[in-house]
Amino acid sequence: MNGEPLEQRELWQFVPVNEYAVPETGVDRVRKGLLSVLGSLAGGRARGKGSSPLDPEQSLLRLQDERLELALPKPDWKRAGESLHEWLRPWLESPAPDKPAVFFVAPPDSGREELLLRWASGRDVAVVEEPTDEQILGGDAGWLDSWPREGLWLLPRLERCFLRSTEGLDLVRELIRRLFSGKMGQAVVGCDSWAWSFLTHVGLGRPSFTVTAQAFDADRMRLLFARGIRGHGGTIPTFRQADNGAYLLRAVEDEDEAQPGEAMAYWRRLAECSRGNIGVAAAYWRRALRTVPERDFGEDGAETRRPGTDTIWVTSWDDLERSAVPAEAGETARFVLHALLLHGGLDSERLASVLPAHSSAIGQALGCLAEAQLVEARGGRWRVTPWGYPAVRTALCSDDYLSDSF
Amino acid sequence: MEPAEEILRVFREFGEINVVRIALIIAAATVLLVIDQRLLPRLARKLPGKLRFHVLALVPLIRLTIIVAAAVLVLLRLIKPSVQNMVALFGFLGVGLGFAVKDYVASIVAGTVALYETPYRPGDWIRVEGVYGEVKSLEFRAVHIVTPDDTLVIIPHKKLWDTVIHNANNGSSKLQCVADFYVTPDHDGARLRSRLRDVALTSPYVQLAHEPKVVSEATPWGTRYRIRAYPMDPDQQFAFITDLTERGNAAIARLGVCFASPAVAARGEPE
Repeated sequence: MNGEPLEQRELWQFVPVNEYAVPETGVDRVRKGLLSVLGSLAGGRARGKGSSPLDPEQSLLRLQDERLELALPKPDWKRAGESLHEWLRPWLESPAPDKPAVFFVAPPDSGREELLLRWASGRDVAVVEEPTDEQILGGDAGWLDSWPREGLWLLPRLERCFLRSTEGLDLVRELIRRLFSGKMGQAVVGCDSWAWSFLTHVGLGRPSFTVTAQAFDADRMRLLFARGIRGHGGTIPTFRQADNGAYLLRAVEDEDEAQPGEAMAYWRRLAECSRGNIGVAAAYWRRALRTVPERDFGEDGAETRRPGTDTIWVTSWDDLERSAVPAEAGETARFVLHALLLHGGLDSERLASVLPAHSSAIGQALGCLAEAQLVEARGGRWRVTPWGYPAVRTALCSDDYLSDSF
Repeated sequence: MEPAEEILRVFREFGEINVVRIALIIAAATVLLVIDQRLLPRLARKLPGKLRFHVLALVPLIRLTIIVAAAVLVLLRLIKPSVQNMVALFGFLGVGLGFAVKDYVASIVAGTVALYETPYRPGDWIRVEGVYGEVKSLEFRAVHIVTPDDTLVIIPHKKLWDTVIHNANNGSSKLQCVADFYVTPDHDGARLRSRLRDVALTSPYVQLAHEPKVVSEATPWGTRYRIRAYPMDPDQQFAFITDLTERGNAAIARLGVCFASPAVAARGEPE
């Protein structure tokens, strides 16, 4: 720890895309898994000083919606936007002719859109709307002609500017061509990481001026959650792990500099399983939260009532249900998942136009995936859920589908 | 001494032979063979692309190892191991095999050589004398191929020894697919080539790690365009070619380019 006050520590780090680093690797997980197995063989699971004060027979309850929403982290997008602005400042103040645009690339659900829109808000930045599907398929250059020619503008979702079909790439190629012609002012272009991987293969080239938000490691993720969670009616939640009682989060002003090993083990697992993606981490966190009504326990196991606090129990990793792609999900289901990731979500009709499958087969696949909670319909578009994303990514990568590098 | 008596002297007395141990060796070898032939391919099909091919390639090698090991262990318990006895036994076998089952043995030897040289292995798509299909298993005597219309074709290894074998993927997931299009010469070639390349790039089956190529050549009755691209998995080759063909034809039609064929060329008018 560097001694800096916790509230002032900068959580958002911006780096070029090729410097993005996912927290921890599977090798570490294998090593820990082996150690865990050896520990079990040696004589059962050791119960350390953080043993759970909960009655093992007691059923924990899911949180009610209102309390659940308050227990979820809400990042400070304003502060994140300011950090991004600081990173962009040299480029904004001294535009380079060979760098007319910066591409902000990030994985799904990592907060890219919220961050970019918050950055643009309150600044002299024109936000460009994406084209319609008809404009994309028609290669309608009129959409480009209506853009601002000078000044700074933002296109938050490049993944909504193309369709993976024979005629669906013309418009985005024309956009990139005009962008690098230097005749369209200065641009910040946001792009989903899966779409970015696809577009670099089909004609985008490999633009060198890119930026992304660095993956959140265990320490920064814990602080992000701590700062982003607010209490209900003035009470500040305390989060404890259900199986060993470890304090995962307390009120920020009460937090110790050095976190106990058991607590940090949870945050490391969360950072690793979510690949440092705060949206995915929040989805796992949401599923893990439980409550025991009306009571709280102190560290010595005695029942206490701490004024102004509220304890929420967090299911351990071993007991938490993880997402998985169903065994019966065949080729069509995988095509559906891949298409949804490439395009940042699609409606059913558009899915049928970009896939070599009948709409009924696609509908069946969507039903199977929705039942497994891997996809959801939102705003008329199907998309991969944050909770399902790790399993979907693993399944597609193992089957050699084109994937991102995040 | 009669040759038959000489051969019988090679073997142990009946009382010296541990029948139970021999039965156990045969039983163990049988169990291992079943695991190798049935469970290992099933496991391999659950594995991701490249790993699947490596595991499938091990199946015949493991089978050969089990059979050879079991045969040696049984033989050592049946015969008195001395140089003189081994010479006599192999001499007898050589004469007998040379006349009675030479073709069978030739196939076995060819199969063993194939394991070493790997001109084909399970998971490969090969073409042999007009038969195209996936190698499902390498048996002792023959290779089992399943064609696209689900026909099992059994080809003795001996036959393949002096036959040209076309191996489409050679132990990997990289299998090039080709889709052909025939158009009349009066068109914008660069534009059509670019559009056909987009057809390949936007296929859900395409493996973008290997960039698709579009080539063209003149034929007596038109221009032939070929998309050469790789699907993610060899099993998808037919669906991939279908997808390329359907969307390629649609793209050509939308460009207003006319299709060509020998019959059309003979009539002297576009389709």
